Amino acid sequence: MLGHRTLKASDFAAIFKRRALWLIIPALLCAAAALTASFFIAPRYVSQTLVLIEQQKVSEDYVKPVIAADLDARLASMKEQILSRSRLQPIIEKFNLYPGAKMDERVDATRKNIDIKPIRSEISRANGLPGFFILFTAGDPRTAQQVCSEITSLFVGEDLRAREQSAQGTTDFLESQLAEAKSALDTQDGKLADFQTKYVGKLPGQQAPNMDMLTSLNTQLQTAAQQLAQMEQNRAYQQSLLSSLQSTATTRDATTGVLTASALPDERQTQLVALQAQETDLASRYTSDYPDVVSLKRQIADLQKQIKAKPAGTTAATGSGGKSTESPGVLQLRAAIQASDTGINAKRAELAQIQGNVRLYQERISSSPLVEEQYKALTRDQDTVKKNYDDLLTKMNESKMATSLQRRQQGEQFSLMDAANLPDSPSYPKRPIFGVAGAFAGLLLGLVVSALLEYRNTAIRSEDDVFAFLQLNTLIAIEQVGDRPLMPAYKPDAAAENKRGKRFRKPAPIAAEHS
Amino acid sequence: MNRTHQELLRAALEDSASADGMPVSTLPGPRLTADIAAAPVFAGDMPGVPCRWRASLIDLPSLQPRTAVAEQFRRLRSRLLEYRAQQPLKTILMSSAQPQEGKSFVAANLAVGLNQHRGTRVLLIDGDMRRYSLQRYLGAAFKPGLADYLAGTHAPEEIMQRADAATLEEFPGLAHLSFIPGGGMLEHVSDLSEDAHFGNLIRYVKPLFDWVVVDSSPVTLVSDAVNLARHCDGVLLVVRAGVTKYPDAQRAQAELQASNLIGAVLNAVEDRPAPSYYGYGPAGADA
Repeated sequence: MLGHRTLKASDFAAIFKRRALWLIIPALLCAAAALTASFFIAPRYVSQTLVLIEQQKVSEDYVKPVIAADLDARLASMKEQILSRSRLQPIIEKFNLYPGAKMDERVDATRKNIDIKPIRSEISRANGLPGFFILFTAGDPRTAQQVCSEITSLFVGEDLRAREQSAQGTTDFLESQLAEAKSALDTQDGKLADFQTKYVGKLPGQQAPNMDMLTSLNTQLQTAAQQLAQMEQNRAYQQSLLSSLQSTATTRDATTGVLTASALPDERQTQLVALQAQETDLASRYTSDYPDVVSLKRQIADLQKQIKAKPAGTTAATGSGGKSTESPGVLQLRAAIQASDTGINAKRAELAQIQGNVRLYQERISSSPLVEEQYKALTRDQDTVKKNYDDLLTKMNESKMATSLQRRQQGEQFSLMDAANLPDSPSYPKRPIFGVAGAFAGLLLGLVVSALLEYRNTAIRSEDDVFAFLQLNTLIAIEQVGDRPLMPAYKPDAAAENKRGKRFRKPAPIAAEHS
Repeated sequence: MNRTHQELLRAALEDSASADGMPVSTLPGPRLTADIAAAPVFAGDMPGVPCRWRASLIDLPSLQPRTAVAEQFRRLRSRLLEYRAQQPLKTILMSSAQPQEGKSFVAANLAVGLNQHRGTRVLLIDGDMRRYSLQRYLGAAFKPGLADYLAGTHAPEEIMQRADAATLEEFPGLAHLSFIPGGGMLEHVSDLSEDAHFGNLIRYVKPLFDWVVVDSSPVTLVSDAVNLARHCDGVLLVVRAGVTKYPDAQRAQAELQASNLIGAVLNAVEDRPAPSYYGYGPAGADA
């Protein structure tokens, strides 16, 4: 009644009991068929090796590994390389794998029969795996073992080669980069040196000394100016003395005997002295470009020209052959005055030099900000280049250490833990599994068939069916009678009954009765 | 037949005739009073002609007091008695959807089961006039029977059988059972089943028995059962477990829609475990 009404557990139990043979027989038959089929299937043997990945002997805090890429990615890459046609073809030809087929098909078949299974351990490092299995499946155990060994060798060799290549490649690359960085650093150093040469005294670090020097120069200037003023005062005094002496002295013209008045102190000289005193005073406060200073200098120069052209005390009556006679004091004064002039000129030169230096340092100080900006840019570039160089140098050294570690066999490497085993039994087909699978399939088939039969069988079987379909109460349910043996006490004694004369004559068939 | 019984029979006939509105004398079938005195049919107050019955215990397990099947029929008997306590129930028709579902088996065993209760008098009628089979269960003769009565050749008392002394000695459980076999083959069976003669027969025998069990034909194949059911107080639908399909059963139920369908009897249940409680079962007591 499956599918026609809601069934209870007892209904399912009855169905199961009713269809038990439909379940058991297909299960047995299919199990037997599967077992039989397993004997006709070509066996397959699997050989496997275990490769462990040993960590490098030196801590990574001290020496960084040559290859830092994820091991899973590297393993996948190695697998692709080893499973390439160029790598597999020699193995196929060596062991004559899958004879009779085309090489492409042989390569594909070989690839399908190679399996790489990583081992993942909870106690391994978080970003790596402790090792992997290499498996190869073949039709006979010896071939499986040999090919598995060959492939394992390929893996280990590939790993070593990759590491060496990586180490050398890294070193070479870093060397080239380092050379470039050094060249850039040298260039930058040159630029900085040129700049420092060009702007010597104006560099940011020299501003303080410049200020100090300027202060010193100003002091010197002030001192020199004071000295000059003093010297000019002395000269003026000497000049006044000389003028005074000359005014009292009588001078006779030797030729004519004419008494000439002595020359009076020249006002131009006095004016000259005054002007020079003014100049000195202004020079102590202003630069030589100051307008007043420039004007004074021009006046002084003009006056000096005039004095030179017509010196004081000189008269027109001086005839030819006339000859003056001066006292020694006058001569001394004249000498002193000359000396003072010399000193004054020297002092003025010194003053001018000091003023020049002051202007120089002032110019330096004023241009320092602009120079500083340029200097900073240069030093920043220089720092960057240097930092790059230092980094590269550090990496270079690390790479060399890692390469050295690798060469000493102390770096991370593949270690063959278990060599390829010789399989002693085929991995496929596993007959018990075949049997169980066949039984399960048969059981499933039996279930389907039983379900179908139950669905198609609409016969009433129980009181529940009667009520479900007829809404009638079942007054009684009579068990099957006929084949069930009678109670021994009521079993008729055939022999005794026969004595009574055909008492248990078999009833005539209905057809006879109706005829 | 003693005189008292004859008077009772006459009174019953008059009552039934008046209820139908048809004079008894016009009915061709039953010859009710003509040969009553002549026919030695009611010896021991039990209607019917004494006959030697060779009952089959395999077919009539109700004869065995301690079998599960007999217990089931006793339970059916109890259910019917419960039903009768609330509604009139004397004549019961056995029908089914298809042939070979156990109508005759149930009818025969029910009749035997009813018969064993406190001297209850039971009449078993083989109403399956197309394929009568009840005579096999009792080992009785199949003629004269209902067909002869309906054909008008025999009176009811002539077609009625009862167990003779020899049979009763062997099967005491058949003491109060009368049997009307099917009789010969008839033409126009449907017409006869529709006829009022069967109703007259039922009316005739009702006063004489406590129960009347009528076996009939499959209701979905022929109309006999429906016709006969009109004259019965109730109908039991026999369903054979694992054989009767529910569409057929539903169709049979629909055919008997106008009748009083009391319930169903589920026959030949295979999954029911044979009870051994108190020895009811093949491995029970009496072994």
